[in-house]
Amino acid sequence: MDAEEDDRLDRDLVEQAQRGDREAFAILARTHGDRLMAIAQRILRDVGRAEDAVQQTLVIAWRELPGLRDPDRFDAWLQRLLINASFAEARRWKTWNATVRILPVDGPPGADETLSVDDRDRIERGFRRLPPDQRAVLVLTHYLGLTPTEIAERLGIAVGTARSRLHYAHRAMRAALEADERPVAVAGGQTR
Amino acid sequence: MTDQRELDRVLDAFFVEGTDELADRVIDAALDQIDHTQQRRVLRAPRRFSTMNMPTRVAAAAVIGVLAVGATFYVIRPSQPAVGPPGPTTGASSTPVAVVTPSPSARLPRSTPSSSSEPCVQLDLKTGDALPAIRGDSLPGLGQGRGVYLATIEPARPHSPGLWAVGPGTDPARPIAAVELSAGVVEVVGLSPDGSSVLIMAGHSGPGDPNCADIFVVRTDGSGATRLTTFPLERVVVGAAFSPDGKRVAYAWKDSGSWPGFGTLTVLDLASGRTVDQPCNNTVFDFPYVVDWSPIGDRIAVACHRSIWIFDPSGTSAPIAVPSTGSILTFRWIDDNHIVVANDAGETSTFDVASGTSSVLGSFSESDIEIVIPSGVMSPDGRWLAYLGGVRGDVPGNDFRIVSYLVPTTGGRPTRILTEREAWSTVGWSADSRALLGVINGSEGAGPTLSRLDVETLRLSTVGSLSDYRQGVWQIP
Repeated sequence: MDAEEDDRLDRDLVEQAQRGDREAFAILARTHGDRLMAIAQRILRDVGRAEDAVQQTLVIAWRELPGLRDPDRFDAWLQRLLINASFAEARRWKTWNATVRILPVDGPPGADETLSVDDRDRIERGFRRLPPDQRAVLVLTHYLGLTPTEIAERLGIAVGTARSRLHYAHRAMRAALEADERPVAVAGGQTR
Repeated sequence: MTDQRELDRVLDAFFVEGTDELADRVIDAALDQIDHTQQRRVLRAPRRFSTMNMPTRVAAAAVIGVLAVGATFYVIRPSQPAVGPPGPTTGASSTPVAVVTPSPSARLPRSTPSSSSEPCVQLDLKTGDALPAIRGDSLPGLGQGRGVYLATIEPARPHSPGLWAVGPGTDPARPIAAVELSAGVVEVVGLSPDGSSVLIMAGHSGPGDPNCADIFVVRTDGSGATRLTTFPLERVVVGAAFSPDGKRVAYAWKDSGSWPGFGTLTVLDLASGRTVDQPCNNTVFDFPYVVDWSPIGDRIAVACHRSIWIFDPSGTSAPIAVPSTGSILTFRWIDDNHIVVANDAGETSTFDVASGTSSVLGSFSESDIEIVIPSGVMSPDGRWLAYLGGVRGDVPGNDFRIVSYLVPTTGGRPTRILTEREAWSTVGWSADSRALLGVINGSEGAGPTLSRLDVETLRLSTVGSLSDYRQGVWQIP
């Protein structure tokens, strides 16, 4: 089955679901679920919270689906809902991970894709400190490979806003990588 | 200096790893919810409306008009709770509370979560002599107010949190305890009415982590660290609050092992350790994790599933359902007999417990504002509602610029009070309901500030600067 055929089937399912067909929506949910989970987990860095965000996204998508004007835009629309749900999930636990967990490495996928444990630890810590909107643009850029223009279009924001968020996110991540070279902040606002 | 190419390489590699599969149980749970979820009715002129001939256009307009009238009746119809009552049965049991010697180092039980009888959360609260002699933030605008919050406590370990207290006679803030958690998150969830004790919640739910959360209590002088729950795997506390007299704690928890989880409200008498459990089935996640005691402490309101239920803390009478529509944004007792509720449809209502009736208070629904749930915070007198919202496009999710709004619960056009850039994190209201409290992230190089917004004048003032702030609870007169 080629991509065009897939798109047509997807569009048919979306139109059926818009008319209240739960079976059609169930197929869409199972088709798109893995991708939604991958994005949410990378934004939230937590499987349980990502599952909550995806579940919430699917329920909102069902409720709001009749309002989707262009069935061909279902995938992008679903990702917008997911990012909003991820933001809500991030706010729900306005907390902080006392210990950063390092995800297990199953073996380096390639010379260009390896990270030292120290780098990963710094990136993980730095990423968790980012606000959700900056986390989202990093995931869309470095995981989905979207350009700022595509991110802007996907999220319904101005291209300049997407570029700005990416700029600040990159700057924060660069600072996280170089954290060992900087003075450490201590209580009272002083530095050592 | 890391160049852009190297940064891109590092980030690309970083995001390669992670979960790529959604568990079937999540989809099943979503589809189960969908079975009880109505799709939103959308009235829209056909795309070819402008190209229709006049008779066809008139006929189409008539159909739309009929649908609009029908939809209006549909929207304003009385609604019933989405699920049945949690059940009137109550159970009481005597459970000893694990008291831990707090000083100089309060070491809460540590063990491997290998069986249901062992604690899943392993938390140490190091107090007394174990703490470094350091002075924290000064908050001159706090007045007679109090706060307990999480911030860095050990300069050598900037990522380890400490529990700080600030208030009358203790300004600047002083450390209560150094928090050592094996993994996961810690959160301050409640301060006793007299400010003498604080509830904290610790738990974990991450890749490879067990899913569990427990609550603990510690006095704000650093003594009396006590573990209140010792939950096994898959049991998670989601909200907790002191009773108005500070002698009891009510906490809502769910058992995630039976996805999507069935919940319980437990009322614990701190002196005797006696508990009363009542079912509160939380099968969805978009409800506010709020446990709210009535002012005299004879009732507790909790969101169970998509409805609010009012419980008798003693468990002797059956819980009462508060009729509501949509998803709950927030709710609050305003006196001993009334609760004000706000929902995601932009409606507010008041519920009279004695008569069991709800009355509409107002509407703050605006077509261009998407309400984010569960983000609402209501003032103690029930007159004001602060919440997060984003600009709505054709459909929700078209824009995620989230900003703070303020609106009277009697309805009207919400006022945008802070921008996305200011990154307001609402932490509560002053007791007189005149000021909304929040933490505003500073600009580059500056720390966050605890700020208060006068709701009548919208004047923003700084309570004090926080050198490092994670999360906390605050009481301001």
